[in-house]
Amino acid sequence: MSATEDRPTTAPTTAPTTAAPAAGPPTTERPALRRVLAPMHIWALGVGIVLVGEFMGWNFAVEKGGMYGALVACWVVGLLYTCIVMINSEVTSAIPAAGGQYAQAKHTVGPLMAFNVGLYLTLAYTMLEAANANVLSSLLTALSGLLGSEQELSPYPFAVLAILALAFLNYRGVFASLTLNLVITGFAFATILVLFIGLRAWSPTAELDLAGLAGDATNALPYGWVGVIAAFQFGMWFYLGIEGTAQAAEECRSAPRSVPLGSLAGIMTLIIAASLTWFVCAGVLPWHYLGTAITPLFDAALVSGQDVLVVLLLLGTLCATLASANGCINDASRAWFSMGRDRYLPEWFGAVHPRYHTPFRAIVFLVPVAIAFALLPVVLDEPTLLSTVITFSILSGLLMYSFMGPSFMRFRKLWPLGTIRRAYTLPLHPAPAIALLALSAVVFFATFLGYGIALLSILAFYLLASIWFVVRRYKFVRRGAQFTADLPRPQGY
Amino acid sequence: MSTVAVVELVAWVLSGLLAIWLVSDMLRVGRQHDESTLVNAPDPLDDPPVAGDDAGVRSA
Repeated sequence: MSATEDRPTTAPTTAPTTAAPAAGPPTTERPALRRVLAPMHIWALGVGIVLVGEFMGWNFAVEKGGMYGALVACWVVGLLYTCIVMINSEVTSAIPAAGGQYAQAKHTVGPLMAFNVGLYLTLAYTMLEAANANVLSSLLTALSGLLGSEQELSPYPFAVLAILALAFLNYRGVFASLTLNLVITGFAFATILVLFIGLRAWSPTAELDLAGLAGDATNALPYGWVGVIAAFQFGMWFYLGIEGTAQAAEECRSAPRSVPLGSLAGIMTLIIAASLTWFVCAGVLPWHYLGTAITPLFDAALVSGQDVLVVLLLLGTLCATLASANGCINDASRAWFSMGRDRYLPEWFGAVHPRYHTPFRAIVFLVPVAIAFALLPVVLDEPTLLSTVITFSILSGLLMYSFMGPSFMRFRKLWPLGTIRRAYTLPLHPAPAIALLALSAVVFFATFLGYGIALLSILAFYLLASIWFVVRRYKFVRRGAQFTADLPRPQGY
Repeated sequence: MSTVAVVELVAWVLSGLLAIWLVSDMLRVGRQHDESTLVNAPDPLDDPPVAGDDAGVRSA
């Protein structure tokens, strides 16, 4: 690399640091994350991570609660995520830092909370990335079958290639990777709209049989309201990961504008996509089948008998899976990088690439972790391990959501309205924070019903990690890392 | 060699090339740059930041 590669893109630090070489210039120049993202990239990041949940996964809610149970879960959990997005939008517009919720927890609660949130974020996105790579290889196997191949493809090379290729893209720059996400996420969303139009779903009695397939108690609410509650954990699939938009705040040209715009547009897109997905699938597939299907939207296209729809939905599913994995690499690496930068983890991870301006070490470090989790279910021949990996991801996210409500109330207490500049102000405070807390408790209960042992195991894991942090790591944490945002001294300090 | 075997081989080769490039570039950057200049994290308690035009964190 030539010396000129660094010059135009480095930003001088606000002051020389003690770590700078003694013989160096008076103002050290350090590479910083590049501010290149616009609201559309934030939309692509948030929707890209999530949209795969429309193509697969959400339908297990039908098995738990029936057709209407899944619809109630879709909308109630949609309310939970709307609260999350609104809270995120306000806090991120005031604290636009890589690490998103980690940086927020650092400012509003304290180091232990921040460490846990950083860990939740990294693990949630890395596990989701692994699951996506695993699903991608299965989809390619299905595609080769459709193309007439009699030999089954091995899942190993394609899962590994998908993770490495996306990591390479993320390593080379955030603009290219999120522009790719914009294209493939837009395409995947368009395929849902095309399916809706192709099935003439505006006329439920034409191609769809909504009254017959979801019109009475035996298929609409087969297990009553307990089933509806149980369906909530899979309702999360419609939206899980939209909160990841906050991770890109430090790389936005104008974070106070881009994050609220991109995130709010994202949750609106997802609620529309989720409702359309439910409507089409519930009108085409019987609930017993839908509740266990692997790729429900693709199956709906198969039932239609239209080849164009089949091809489009297969490509849409592939694109959604790729977009999700790509967004997960972006978000997991930013969380890991931020913790390294503040010395919550070894500072080595907090490095920024001098040419590409990405957290390159965090990206590379998480590649083997993701590959291991992607291949483990295949190597051990334990397909159920994939659902365990996904459950770990969901529960990590859920743990974070449950802290966001109280954390936001504290944020408003520390910096009341009028004391700092906010590009977005959460309306009806504290109602959304209380709603988020209550809905998180309900989803926790629902998850406990389905995955009680997994939930307790994960809680034990985070407890041990917290003990490690307090006993072994906290002494290394950067002294001034708690309040790095350009905010006035909080109320009460 | 069947088509499937060829496709799988291509995937493995590409994966290998990408992995080698990622690791070698990461090591090269570490060798060519001083470690303290790669980490963008001055400690505000050691060095109080100067208020700039950009609201936000650090110099990023």
